[in-house]
Amino acid sequence: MTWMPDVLRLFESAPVDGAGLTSLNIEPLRKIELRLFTFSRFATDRAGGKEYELHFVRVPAFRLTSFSLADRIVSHASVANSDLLEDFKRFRAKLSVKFDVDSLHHFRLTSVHGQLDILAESFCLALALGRLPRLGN
Amino acid sequence: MISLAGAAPPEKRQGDVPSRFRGLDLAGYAVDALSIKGNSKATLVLSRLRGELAEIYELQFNGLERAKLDVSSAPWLGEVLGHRVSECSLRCEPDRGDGNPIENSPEILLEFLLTVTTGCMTFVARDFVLSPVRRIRSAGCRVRR
Repeated sequence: MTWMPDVLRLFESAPVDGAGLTSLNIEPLRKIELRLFTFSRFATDRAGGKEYELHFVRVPAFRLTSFSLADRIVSHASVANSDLLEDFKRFRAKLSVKFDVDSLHHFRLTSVHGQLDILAESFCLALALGRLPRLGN
Repeated sequence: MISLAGAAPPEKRQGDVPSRFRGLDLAGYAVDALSIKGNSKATLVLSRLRGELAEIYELQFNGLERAKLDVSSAPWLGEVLGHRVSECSLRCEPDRGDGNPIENSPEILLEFLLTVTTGCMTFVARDFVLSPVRRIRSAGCRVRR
């Protein structure tokens, strides 16, 4: 069985598949925040749905590909052999803020039409009411 | 509703965009942060260098209908976000069939396309406002190519 840090285990078990993206906040290097709404049954029925926040902390690189506000998340996972991380390693000397490469993870959210790739030190899942503790570094 | 003093006149013909939305040229601005709140508004933090000062602006889209992003950070540029606006275009979304929006109608949908260093961003909204936030000394902060 492949060893996986807690932060990735938590990310991969996060209940976001099927959720719709309702807000996105990008503050380069510091954080990326997403708000997602999970629907209980149908897209038009918000009753029983839950709103989650995904916070990615210390984000040296990201890539949004055809990522649309109206899209639903279809899958999410961490990426093992990350080209984003390799790119970052190659060019990190040009960044004024330094990151520990060993502590970076590549998180991926795939939506109906696009994809969001985030390189971040840690990840946090929060409910709209009451936050869960942050994991990772 | 453009509050930026001294905005350069647009070089391109902006088609059927109502006059109150014309006169915006963001080429050369850097996009430093982005916030989208679903079905509500999107805010971009923009900056540009003026001598030794970096001027910070907020570009806010109100009545946001859709947003589509094709961008990535670009550490190889040494930029904060790596996005520098190379082109900005604005057009009315022809959602009424005739393609002729009524001047000053609050129902007009604007499609705002920002081409940046590493991709493009599209915002479809009812209104936008560009407003100055502050000025900071830029010397030693960062270098724009």
